[in-house]
Amino acid sequence: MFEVWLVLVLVSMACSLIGSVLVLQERAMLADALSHSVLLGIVLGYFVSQDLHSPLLVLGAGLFGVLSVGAIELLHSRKITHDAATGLVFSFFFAVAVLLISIFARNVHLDIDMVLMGEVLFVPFHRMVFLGQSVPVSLVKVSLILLVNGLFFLICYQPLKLHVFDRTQAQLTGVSVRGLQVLILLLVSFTTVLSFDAIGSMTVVVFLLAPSMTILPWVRSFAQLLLGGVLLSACLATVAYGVAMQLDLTLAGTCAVVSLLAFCSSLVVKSWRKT
Amino acid sequence: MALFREYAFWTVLLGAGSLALAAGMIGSISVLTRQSLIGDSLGHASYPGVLLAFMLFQSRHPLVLMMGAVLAGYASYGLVLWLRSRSQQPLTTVLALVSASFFGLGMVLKQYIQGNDRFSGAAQAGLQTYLFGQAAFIQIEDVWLIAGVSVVCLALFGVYYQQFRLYLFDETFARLAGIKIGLLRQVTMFCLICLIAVGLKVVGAVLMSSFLIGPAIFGLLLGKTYPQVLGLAVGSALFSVFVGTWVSSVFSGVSTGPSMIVCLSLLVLLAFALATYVRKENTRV
Repeated sequence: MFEVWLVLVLVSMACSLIGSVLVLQERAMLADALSHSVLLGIVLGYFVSQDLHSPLLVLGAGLFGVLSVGAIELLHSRKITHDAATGLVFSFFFAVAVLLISIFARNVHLDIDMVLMGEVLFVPFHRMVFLGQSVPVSLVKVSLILLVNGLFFLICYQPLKLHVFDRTQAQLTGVSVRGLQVLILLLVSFTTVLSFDAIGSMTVVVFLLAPSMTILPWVRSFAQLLLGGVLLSACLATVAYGVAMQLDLTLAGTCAVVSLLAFCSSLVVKSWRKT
Repeated sequence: MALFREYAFWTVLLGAGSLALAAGMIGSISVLTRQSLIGDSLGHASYPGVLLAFMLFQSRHPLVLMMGAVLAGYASYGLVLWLRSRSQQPLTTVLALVSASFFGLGMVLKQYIQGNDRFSGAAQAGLQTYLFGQAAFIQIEDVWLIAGVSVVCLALFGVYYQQFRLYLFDETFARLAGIKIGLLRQVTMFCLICLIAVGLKVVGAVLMSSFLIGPAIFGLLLGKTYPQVLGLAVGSALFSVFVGTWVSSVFSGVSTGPSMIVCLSLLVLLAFALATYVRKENTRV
């Protein structure tokens, strides 16, 4: 069970890192949209490779992440507002994916419940040999995405800070704003797809947003937000793991509920301290 | 074509059709007031409401489950308003978090029901269909309920039609003309929550929101006046309801919700191409 806990904590840390940028840029709907639309990429990748752990799934998900953002931008016009375009595009991709699953993949491992909730409890059963050790495949995957996200923040910290703070100024000081945007988009897609078989597509959204939103009223700098968010998300995952194990509940759902409660209580404590 | 002579097919079509009628009208209000994503949050949030109602009353009567969904919808909306006023986060961020978390709560409740002896047996069998809708599970009581709610929503829309027109055209002007904007907003929210609550059985919790957005956008792309917009919206909603019900009846295991949304999205795409590239009425911003 230690492996389950470890995967959960690593997933939540990776999600909260990249999610902080989405919260600060007020683009939270992107998380919601991507977590729905990458499903189509995953399903198509699965049909081609017939393996849930194939790199094709990641490629497909990344492709559809970029594709859905492109489609939203295309539809966004005088007669269609941005939020309406978002709602249309992601539900279309999601609906196609669900249809494909229900028509073609009736008796295989990929089913709707698994997509929505994930199966973190099954993590120890899919193993591979890595550096001579037998480790769960998911553990390798989430460590990889945490490493990639961490590297991204280490390398791009200064330009990213400038970009989040003031986009125009970042552009004027020579930061490639467009490049950063695409990079963030790709990282969100990859994070979503690599964590999806562990915690499901709904809880990914919560893990992306909740830690940063909870910690935001309490921090004074971008670095504090990132570190605080990562620490808090690890705590939230641990608490949710404890509660779920004690009461025998589904892990993904418990994580979502615990995170919402944490956000609410953070606001209550904040306003109580003010008065 | 034996399907078209079946009693069950027509009851389902009647229920889904009356839902489409009301959803086309009310959806246009929520799209024009730029609140399309509130429907998404309400749709996800009503799922745990259905399950809670089932757990409390041990019944699958449509009215009981609908009341649960309505209460959960209001609860999530209240929570969104409270969180937004306290946290200075933009509305979309709070909506995304609340909708995903409430859905997580639904998952917890669903798994609790499945693993609990008290709820074992056939009673919980139909609950899965509230995720994506399933035409085969729509009974005559559901049809009456959907039709009743749709009539109430259409009546409210009809009574306030002139006020709504003015409010959608220019909010400040409507306020100056003495129209109670707050009342109109509450009527809209009431209709949205009730429609979503009854629509769960047809379209499902995950995709219900786009069943409100899609027809309205189709109408807005092609219509020139507000009545035209409403007519086109209802027409496209009815057409996709027909296609969705048909597909779901012919191919077993295929949910109605996704089939309807795919059909509706393709219609919107066609309308978008027509309005943007053929008629050249729609420009980029």
